[in-house]
Amino acid sequence: MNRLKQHWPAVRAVFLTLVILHAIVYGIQTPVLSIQRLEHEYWQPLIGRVQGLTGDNEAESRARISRYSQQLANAKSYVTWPLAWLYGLLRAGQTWNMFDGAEQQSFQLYIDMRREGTDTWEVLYTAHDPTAAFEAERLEYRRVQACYIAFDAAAPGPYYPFTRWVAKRVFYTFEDADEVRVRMRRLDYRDRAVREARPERTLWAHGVRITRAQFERDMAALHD
Amino acid sequence: MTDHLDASGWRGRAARYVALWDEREPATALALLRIVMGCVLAYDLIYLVCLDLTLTIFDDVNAYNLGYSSELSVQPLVRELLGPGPLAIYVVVYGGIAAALLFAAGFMTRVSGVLVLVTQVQLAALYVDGNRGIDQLLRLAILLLVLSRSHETLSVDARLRHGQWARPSVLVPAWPRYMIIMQLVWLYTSAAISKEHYLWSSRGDYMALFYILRYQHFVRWDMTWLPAWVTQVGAFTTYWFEALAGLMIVACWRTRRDPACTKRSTRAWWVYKRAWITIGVGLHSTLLLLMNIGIFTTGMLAFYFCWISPAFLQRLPPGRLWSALRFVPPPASEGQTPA
Repeated sequence: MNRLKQHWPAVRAVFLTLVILHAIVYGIQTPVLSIQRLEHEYWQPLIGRVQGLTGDNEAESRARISRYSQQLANAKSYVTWPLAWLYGLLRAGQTWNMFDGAEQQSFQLYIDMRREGTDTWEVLYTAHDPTAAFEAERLEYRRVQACYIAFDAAAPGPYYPFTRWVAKRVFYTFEDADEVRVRMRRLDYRDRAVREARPERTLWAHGVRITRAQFERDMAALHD
Repeated sequence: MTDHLDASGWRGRAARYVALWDEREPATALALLRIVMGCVLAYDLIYLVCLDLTLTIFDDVNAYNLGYSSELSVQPLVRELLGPGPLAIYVVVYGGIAAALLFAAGFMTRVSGVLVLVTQVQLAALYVDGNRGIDQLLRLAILLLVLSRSHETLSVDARLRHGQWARPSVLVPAWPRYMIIMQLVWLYTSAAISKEHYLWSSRGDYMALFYILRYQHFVRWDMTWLPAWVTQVGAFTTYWFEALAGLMIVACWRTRRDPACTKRSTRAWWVYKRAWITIGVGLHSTLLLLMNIGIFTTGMLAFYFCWISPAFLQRLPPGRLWSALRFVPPPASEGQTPA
């Protein structure tokens, strides 16, 4: 015990150094690339470079990359297991992607409502429109934003629960609301040539419509 | 603080390295980190409560809410203990606010710090999509602060144990602050490595921010009027600020070795260090003004308190205004303050 006390500063220095090195290794991204995943055009330059280095054909290159990526991921998990449990316990990692994506296409949320006995839709909410600011403060809270801010073509995981919550808010607020529509407007800032060569099929995406009857049926089922 | 070790060779270097991690410094910087981070986490949850979103976010998806923890195969601990009803959610949210405020105030600091970690982890488990990078980063920093002696000053604990709210000259181990510095440096380095998109490079004319500021839900106002060159300057600065973060370790090392800046190269590193910190504060303050991204900006700015060095605290002017923070070194270690 006395020896440990005597050497404690050195032990601590070694331990802290290992913690730092562990964090760096833990944070380095090692994607596991299956052969199917390597068929995406994104990986073509990598496959081409491996072919240039090894003389493999394309299929052999894919197999080689897939094998090496798996080995690398295994090696990382072996090296990082001593402290990986702590990160698991804290639900944290050491890979930090701050604004790493910068897509030229994004989405803008629109919430519309149709009143009973009418066919017209009223815009209740969209960004930067003071005339359509229904529940704006709540919708712009960071944990709610996580439900609908889309960085790419896909909707985030909680998007559909989010649309149902929006419908609930609308039906509770407007007694004559008959239907709610939540959808994302595509914003396309690609170059004109690219836009013309690969136009989007629709202006709107991820549209969900919920009627009051459907909502009331679901709420009744919840309390059955 | 440690004596300078003159021994040369690897033994001397190793001894200096061990001495670095064994250094002591005033507790003020760690206490300020504790206060600011506690306040950021408390504010985040108080704002959630004020918006009346507590049940909306964490309660069950079947009731037209956003949480789907009921469908997870491994249930969050709080649901195991308190059941699936709203009680578990209220305990975690209000308990999280209380723990964060107590941690900021420095009352039973280590216990309240652990409670902050427990409640934050449970919130992340109840609503996985809300577990953003800044939440994870703050949890890692809180863990380091729990292990530190940040409660030795500017805390209720200091008042109860020593009869003083502020003890600006009490010395505590400096390694937790160094670890927070390392965390910040790695954060930026990792962020630069992750920016592999061509728009973050000269291949894409550094146009990344131009498009990011067109994400309508991120920006506080419509920013489509902003000229492209402004965003290009911003993207260039952001990328290279992050990519060169690792050099801060060299800058700190060089300015430690030559605190009086006698060499011209040390003066250059001194300027680099101050310029890097200024750019960092400037970037995050600009984000705070322009973008609505929750506690990311305030949380990141909180991290910058890790750059408060003993030398800075020593240079604070005498008088009542700064007396709670001003460091007066004990006579034996005077002149050996790390840079």
